[in-house]
Amino acid sequence: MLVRSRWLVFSCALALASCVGAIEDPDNMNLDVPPRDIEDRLAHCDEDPPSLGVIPTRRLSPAEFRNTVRDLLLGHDASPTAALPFDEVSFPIQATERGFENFVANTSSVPARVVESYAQTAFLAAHAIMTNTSYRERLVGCEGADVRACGGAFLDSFGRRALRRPLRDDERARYLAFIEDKTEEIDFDGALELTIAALLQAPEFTYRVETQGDSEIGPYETASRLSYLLWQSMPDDTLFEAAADDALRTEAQIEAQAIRMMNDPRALSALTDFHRQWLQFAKMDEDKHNRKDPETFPEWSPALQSAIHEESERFVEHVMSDPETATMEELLTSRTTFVNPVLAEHYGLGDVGSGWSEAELPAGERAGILTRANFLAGRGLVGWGSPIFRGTFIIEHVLCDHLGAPPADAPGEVEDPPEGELNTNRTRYEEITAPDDCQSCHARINPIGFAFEHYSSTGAFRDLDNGFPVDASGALLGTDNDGEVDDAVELSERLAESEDVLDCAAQTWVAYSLGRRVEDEDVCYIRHVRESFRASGGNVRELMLDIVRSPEFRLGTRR
Amino acid sequence: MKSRNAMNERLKSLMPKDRLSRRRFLRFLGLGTAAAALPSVRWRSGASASGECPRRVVFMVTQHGPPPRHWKMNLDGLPGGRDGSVALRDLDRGEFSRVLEPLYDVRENIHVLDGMSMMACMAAAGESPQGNNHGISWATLLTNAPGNYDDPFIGGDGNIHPYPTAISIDQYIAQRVAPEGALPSVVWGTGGRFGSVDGSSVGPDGRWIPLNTEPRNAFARLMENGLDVGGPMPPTPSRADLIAAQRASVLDLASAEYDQLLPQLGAEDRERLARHRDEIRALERRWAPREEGGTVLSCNPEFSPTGDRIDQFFRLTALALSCDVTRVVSLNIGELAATDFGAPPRDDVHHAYAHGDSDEAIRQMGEYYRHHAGQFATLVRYLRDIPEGEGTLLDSTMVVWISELATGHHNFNDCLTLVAGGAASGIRQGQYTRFAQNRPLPCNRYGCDGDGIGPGHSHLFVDALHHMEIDEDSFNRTRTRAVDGAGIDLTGSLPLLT
Repeated sequence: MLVRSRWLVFSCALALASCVGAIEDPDNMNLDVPPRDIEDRLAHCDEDPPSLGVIPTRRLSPAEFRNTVRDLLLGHDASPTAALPFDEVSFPIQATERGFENFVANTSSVPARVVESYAQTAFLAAHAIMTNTSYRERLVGCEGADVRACGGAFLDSFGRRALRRPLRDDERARYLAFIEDKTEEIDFDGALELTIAALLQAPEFTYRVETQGDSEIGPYETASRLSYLLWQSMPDDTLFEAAADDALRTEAQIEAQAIRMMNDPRALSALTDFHRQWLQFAKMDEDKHNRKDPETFPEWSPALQSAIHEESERFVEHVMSDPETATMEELLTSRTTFVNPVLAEHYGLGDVGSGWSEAELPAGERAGILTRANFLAGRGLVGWGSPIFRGTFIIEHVLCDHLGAPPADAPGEVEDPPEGELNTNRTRYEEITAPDDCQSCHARINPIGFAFEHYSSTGAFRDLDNGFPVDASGALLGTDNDGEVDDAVELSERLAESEDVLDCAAQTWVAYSLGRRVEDEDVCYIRHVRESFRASGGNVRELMLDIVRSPEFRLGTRR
Repeated sequence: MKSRNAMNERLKSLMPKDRLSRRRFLRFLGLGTAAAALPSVRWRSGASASGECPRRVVFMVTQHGPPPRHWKMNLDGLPGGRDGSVALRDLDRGEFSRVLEPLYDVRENIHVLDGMSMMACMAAAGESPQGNNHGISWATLLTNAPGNYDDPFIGGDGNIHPYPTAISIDQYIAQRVAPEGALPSVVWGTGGRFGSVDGSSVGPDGRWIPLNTEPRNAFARLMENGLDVGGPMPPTPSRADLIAAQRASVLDLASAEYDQLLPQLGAEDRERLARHRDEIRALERRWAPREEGGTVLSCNPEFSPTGDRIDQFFRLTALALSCDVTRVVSLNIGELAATDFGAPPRDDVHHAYAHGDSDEAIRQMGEYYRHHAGQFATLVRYLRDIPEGEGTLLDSTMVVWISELATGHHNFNDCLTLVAGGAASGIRQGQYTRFAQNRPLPCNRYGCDGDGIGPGHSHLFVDALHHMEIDEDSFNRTRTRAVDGAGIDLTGSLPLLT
């Protein structure tokens, strides 16, 4: 029953029911699409041709946009952390959906302010290229004595890289006419500057346009799917050449390119960014979670917050950098970390010298990403950690189960205890979630959330809460690896052994690769990816290769 | 009509000697690299071609709601059982309520509306048992339209919240009144829906519009969109001037490429990318050089990005409106920190105060809204201090302050609403109007208390349309249904406001 419910919850057609009874009885979940439809699809995966739901024309996410501008201007030799050769324009991030920055951008129209940011960036980038001798030499490579020849050569090289495919004849003619026209009005370099700005605002720069139809996408589109999934950026010259040679057609050809790309520092950067979004590292910066009582938490300084962010990224990079250890198990249980003095003090590690260094977190206190300060403080409130936020996140984002909504009149978070009335955080949350209506969900949320009671709102370890010994006992329920736990370390170990967690991670990666929430028509693809992810022992780098090897990866965008 | 050069001379004479040049601005804003590429400073002087002061509107939305016991005023002369008004002019400071007392000095410029209802929110609540009232408010407060529960938003708290289904009043007005080439609206603030950057403004596609939360960026955008474009080419243009003058043609080429692509896309993508193309076209018009300007206003395009962020946004509001860069400003003030209104820092504002039941919690929530009242008074003063035509900028500007909820306890009825300015359209100022709570309720779930309610915000939105010279008598939803099945008319303007 539970397995079935987990298949059902990823349906985007889910009409979200009240949480009452939703966990125990999936039939209570009010689906627009009858459950049989999904089960039918699953029953015929082996004989049906590969299928996918509609993939929207994806707009580059802020990270993809920046990386693309970087690689277009500086080339793929540049470091993923290289600064752009101009002052960067602030890009507003639209609302995120399940933490992912591109989901909303892929389905909603672009705000005016974002269009302005595109334009500003385009003009600044164009100016940076044309006023720097070395950039100009590398990206233009000829002088304007023969406007048509030099302008045409520029469009064939830079234009192809900007639009991520060769320009069509009519398109080339339009841009060339523009160059000639502006050369007369200003000069050749001025014309190229304006042309670069135009190319950087072309729809096929800003969007990943795929027009090759249902059956299979074209080689340049395959190159972009590879580069944006594995690098969050545009294809490099090797990929362009492979596309030009039509050498991105077979599974072996794509796998060879993907293996090459996974060894590029861009892949590690993209893997880290995926986890930043999935695990919502930025949650800690939201007012609700960032405001900590300065009397209780005097350590909550900008320096500590900055270090916590950096630790998260360094830790994920560390786990993902080694092909052997790039596993969910490592992510959830490793005690290796990276600290500077301020973070070392927060973790009780003593003197670690100046600067950043690798360290081992105390055994029994912490293990894996869910026991690090970013996750904990990002689900902490002004004076206390929130078992509800911590438990809910794990159920919804690590297990991919949907809890439904609390009753409409459910109280919010706990209030500060009246002065003189001593109790623990756990007790207060137990009281507030005691009513039967609440228990249909909180019977599962609380035992997960309470396992984190050893951590304060800032993620500091504690043995006492308001003078009482911390009770962090809890349980993992509703999974394939249910059982009681003494604390978050044991909970993390239990999660690391759960195939449900691997399934959730695989499903989340599929959604990310498609740039949208998963849909009913994706079920066979997801099942296949889940199975191979399990078989690999939850190796994320293997998962990436499996995604790009799948026939669905090359399926056309059905409309 | 004055020549552009003459207007520029006039503008220069209005400017302080130590004003920041555009290049200094850009360096100040960290865009120094860009400065060398950009053209000479040419301000857009703004104002309508007819010489009349253009109409403007400002919507300010604050979070949670004020406790009635601390904001309502007990005034002689207010009739019982029916709507009525009394003048604020002759009141003593001590007669103002604790929350509204900071407005005493601008009392002749404001109209306090006591007892309105958030009718659209109540109607949405009546139509669905789901969602808490915060979520309902963000989706419906300014749209006066139902919420979309078909594919709802799941909050971090696990609650189901509807998405909006229609454009909000500010954006609708912006679409209708923006002059060719002007910025239709600006959406600024320090925090929106559940701490996100989504404000209460909703675009034509039913999506929340993200707030610009950084005053520096907001000012840079004003610079790009009106403060420094237009006017004839200098007699001896630099190469940068020549390139900058071609920015519109670049945008023209980019949007033409969208035209080429659109037929190849499916319906949904085509609609989405067509909107993108339209935004590029709008930018092209905003960035196009202008040969003629209108009447010169008292526009001082200076800005110092220092101090409290809300104060910065208020100063930018005055700047943007007075320079006619835009005529619609939407401001969302995020949840205050406890220390902002003098509460002990350890308390969680949302739950300890906004939802608190104790006298102390309610008192603190009063202080929370007293802080907002002081902010609103500051905004009113900024607009009132700018002379324009025969009066001030405030005369042509209708400023509306609405709270997310009517009270800290999620109520939608009997709320505090304030209007300032708007004399040009006949809005009565210096008034305290109390509405009788005798209209039928459209919902009976939590948040919909009482036996009857006051008029809904839909009527106030009609007044905003009229103020902006849009001759329409309704906005989005025209009717809803009371719990007893009777129809509720949402059309027409608000009694006693004008």
